[in-house]
Amino acid sequence: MRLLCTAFSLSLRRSLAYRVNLFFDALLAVVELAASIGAIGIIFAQTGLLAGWSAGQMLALIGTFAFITGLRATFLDPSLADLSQQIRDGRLDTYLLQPATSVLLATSTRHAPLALVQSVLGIGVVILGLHELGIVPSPLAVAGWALLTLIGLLIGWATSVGLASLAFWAPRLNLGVLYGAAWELGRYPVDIYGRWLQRLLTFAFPVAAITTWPAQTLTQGPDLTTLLAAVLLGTAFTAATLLLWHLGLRRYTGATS
Amino acid sequence: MSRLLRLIRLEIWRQIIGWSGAWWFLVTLVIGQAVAPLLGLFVWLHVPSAGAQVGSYYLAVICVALVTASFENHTFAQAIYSGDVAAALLRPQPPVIGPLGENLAIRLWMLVLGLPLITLVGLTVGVHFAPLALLAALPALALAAVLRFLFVWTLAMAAFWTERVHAVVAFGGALIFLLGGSAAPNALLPDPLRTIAQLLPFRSMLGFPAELATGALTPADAAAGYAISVLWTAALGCCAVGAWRLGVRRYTTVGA
Repeated sequence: MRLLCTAFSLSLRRSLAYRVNLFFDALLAVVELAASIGAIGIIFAQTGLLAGWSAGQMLALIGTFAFITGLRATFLDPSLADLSQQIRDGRLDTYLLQPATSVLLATSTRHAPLALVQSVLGIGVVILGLHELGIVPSPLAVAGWALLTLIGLLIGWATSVGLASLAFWAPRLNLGVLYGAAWELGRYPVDIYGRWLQRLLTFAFPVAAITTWPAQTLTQGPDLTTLLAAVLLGTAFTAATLLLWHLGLRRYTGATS
Repeated sequence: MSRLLRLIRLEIWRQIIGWSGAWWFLVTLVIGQAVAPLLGLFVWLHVPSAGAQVGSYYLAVICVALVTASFENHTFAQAIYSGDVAAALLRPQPPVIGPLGENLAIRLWMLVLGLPLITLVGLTVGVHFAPLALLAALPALALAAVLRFLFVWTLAMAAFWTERVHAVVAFGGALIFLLGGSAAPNALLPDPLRTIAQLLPFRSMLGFPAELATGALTPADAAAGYAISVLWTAALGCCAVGAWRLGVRRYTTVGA
């Protein structure tokens, strides 16, 4: 944790040197979130419910999506962006030689603090959604939301690292764009997709656990089955990713071997 | 003119061969372009007032998105940052030929590799297109392809001034998503947003050809849409030329 804090502090100091970039990133986050909210507004101008979700619940979901996407963009994306490239050209050696867990060093030590703007705005949209619903969530619901959001971030990390680890076997494979496209499915509740796609988005690429379940918990109260399913999914995905990483490392030959 | 066309054809061919080794990456680009219209399709299938043609409309939008996809913020802007654009300036040909050829080659690959997805969506949703409506949409599709290229290329030229070209292009992407017909068909937008969307260029880049293909427009609306597309093509053409002239004056590279 101390290592992560130090890395974040260094990244923050580097980022604050470029204030125009901060302005651009903040403006982009506002525009993208406004477009999402605008799309929700257009849909609910035509209907009262979308697959059983009201406008307020949808806002809570969009806010949760923005919050978790901001966290991912801040803490994971900068390291994961060129992980395949690092595996390919042998730069991964740097992390393997350091006295800390290699998977953590290679996937979470470069940060983009300016992307946190998106998370802050996301929280604002969640509050707006709750205001629209006219409810004050119970402390248990808020705790459930926070826990599920953390698990969502963990699943986001595990799936990204899992896909990037495939570079140990197929060095030219670049699935970043595909992953970004799949992540976009989290903008809406899984209830809008067909039955098979819904199952796929619950168990294979659990978008349901990343955004639908946290928003549901916050607006309708916690459900023990959902919480347990999320914990199980988070554990299973993390374990599978760590296993994949270790198997991949065995194949890795480094820059000089 | 024939020399120019021959140069463009050669550049397209060169880029088609160059990109043929990256077919897997191109497949991910196809999915990346199709995901927003697919989301729109899933959403509007749950809204009864959207009408029975919404499946056909979104399938047409997916086709338009693939045929008009533009990535100049990745290709052309990176050439500005790396200094590679200097080589294009020295060649005895218009510098637009490089980005244009690469753009058309990528679109061709995306259309070919996107055919299975288009077929799958078409079979799943159950679509219907009248042949005459499809013919009426073809010129609009060509205009959309030109407009989208000019729009993204102009925005990508922000690379002459800033390092945040992806953010600049993303602003444009958000506008195309919201007002272009991806978030919702133009007819389902509430007023005055619908009127604003009809007057801006974004609908001409995506939704307008799809609306024509599904036969959703009256002849008067189609004519108005075409007039707006032509006007915006001319306007964005002027903007692209202006941005290029200003940008090149600022441009410095190694040794300059």
